Amino acid sequence: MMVTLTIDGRSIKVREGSTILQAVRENDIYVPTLCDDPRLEPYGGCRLCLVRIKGMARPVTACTTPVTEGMEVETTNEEIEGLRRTIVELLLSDHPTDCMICEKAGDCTLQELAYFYNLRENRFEGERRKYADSDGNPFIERNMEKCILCGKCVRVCNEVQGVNAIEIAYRGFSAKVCPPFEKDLDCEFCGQCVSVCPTGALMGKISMGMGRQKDIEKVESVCPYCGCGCNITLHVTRNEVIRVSSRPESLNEGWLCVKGRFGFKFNSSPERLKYPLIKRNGQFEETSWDEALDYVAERLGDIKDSYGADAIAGLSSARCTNEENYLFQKFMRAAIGTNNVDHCARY
Amino acid sequence: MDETDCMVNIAKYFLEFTQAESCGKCVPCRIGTKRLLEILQRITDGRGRPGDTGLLEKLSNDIKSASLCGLGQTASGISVMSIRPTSMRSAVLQVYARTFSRIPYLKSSARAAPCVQGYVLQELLWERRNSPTRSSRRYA
Repeated sequence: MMVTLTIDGRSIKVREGSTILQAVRENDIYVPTLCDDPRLEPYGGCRLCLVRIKGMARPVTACTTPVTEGMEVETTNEEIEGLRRTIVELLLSDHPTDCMICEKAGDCTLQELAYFYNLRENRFEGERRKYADSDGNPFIERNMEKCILCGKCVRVCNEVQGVNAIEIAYRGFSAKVCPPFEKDLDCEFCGQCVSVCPTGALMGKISMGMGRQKDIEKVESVCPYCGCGCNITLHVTRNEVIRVSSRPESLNEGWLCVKGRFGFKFNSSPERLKYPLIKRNGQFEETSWDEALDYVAERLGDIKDSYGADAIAGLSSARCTNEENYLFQKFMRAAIGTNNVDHCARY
Repeated sequence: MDETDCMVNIAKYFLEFTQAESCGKCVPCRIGTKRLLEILQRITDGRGRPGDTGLLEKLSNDIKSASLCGLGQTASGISVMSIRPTSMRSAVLQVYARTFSRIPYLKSSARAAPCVQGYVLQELLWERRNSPTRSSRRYA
């Protein structure tokens, strides 16, 4: 069932049950948001997507209001922009304005909004939350002074990851996102929360101080860790991977695990194996591919001749592609002549 | 509470309560009521800044329109109603009128604490100093 409504004078058809915000997004109309993520349940906390609906006494949030037939929506006017401006200004009045040293600068939604509304001076300067704590976990840098309490991290942890590692504690001005009993974060470290955070409150520790957002070249790739094949985006600067993210429109919807998101240091590790090694006199020695392959073929042939093909077994890796795994079992069955072939992902 | 109490102090008292009760989910209520209280505190401490009453009214109205639930929508109402520059001013002016000129039609029971009276008079002075009629007269 389709519903027809009017948004900013345009007649628009959308699926019944969609929210005004979905209708607006589908039709490329800009409405600012901080707490919205299409992959999460609507929250209605940031109040930035306020719109005017004809016949309603007060502005309502587009993200939590379902469309109805014949609805007349106004997404922008002087009143609404005034409210949005006040909201962003209030957020900035309780936010360290240290964009010049913030890791997120250039990719921060709050910074974008401050730019959009041209906010330099703040009418609402006042007390700011101060937190002295730093989280001792190895992966996620938490700077709660920069938190705007949009609740995205809490929702993603709950709805998507199902871990419930963090929750909003206290209330009102003292409200704070933290793990139970305000201890250090001790979770799966999937970093889903880092990927949805609109400000610099949550960042990957490995990426801190590695380079500005503007210098990053984004390279699309596939995660090499397991057979799921999640789409990843490598953030490269000075020919080094400094961060891994994933696009929300990818097949894994932008969700990654701790290995895919934070386990990329092997890429530039000096200990990384780059040449084949042959053990001679108890020592591994670098050698050429030709020599290594000849050596393996010779030894496999010797074993097969002496003890039979079933004395050999092959174990392949989930980090290989389907084609490589296919070739490997083909090699074991046709060239060696044994069915002793297995794969690490079967355990 | 009776007619001798200062409305600004009463508004501050209620705001302290609503600000403590705010759940913190929506921005206008969480930070907005905090800022309202800070402005009132400033005024009653005698540290009011030019334009504070106007800011108070603007912020109150924005919180009222933008808040998620009834708490934020009504929390600021107390300041909209009782600290509106006009009503606060009239309260102070009425007190002064009563005290100094005894004009009968300005008789009112509304009162403001001395610090608030001081702020309102100061603000009137700031406004007069910046009013176009005065400056044009000065540079004419």
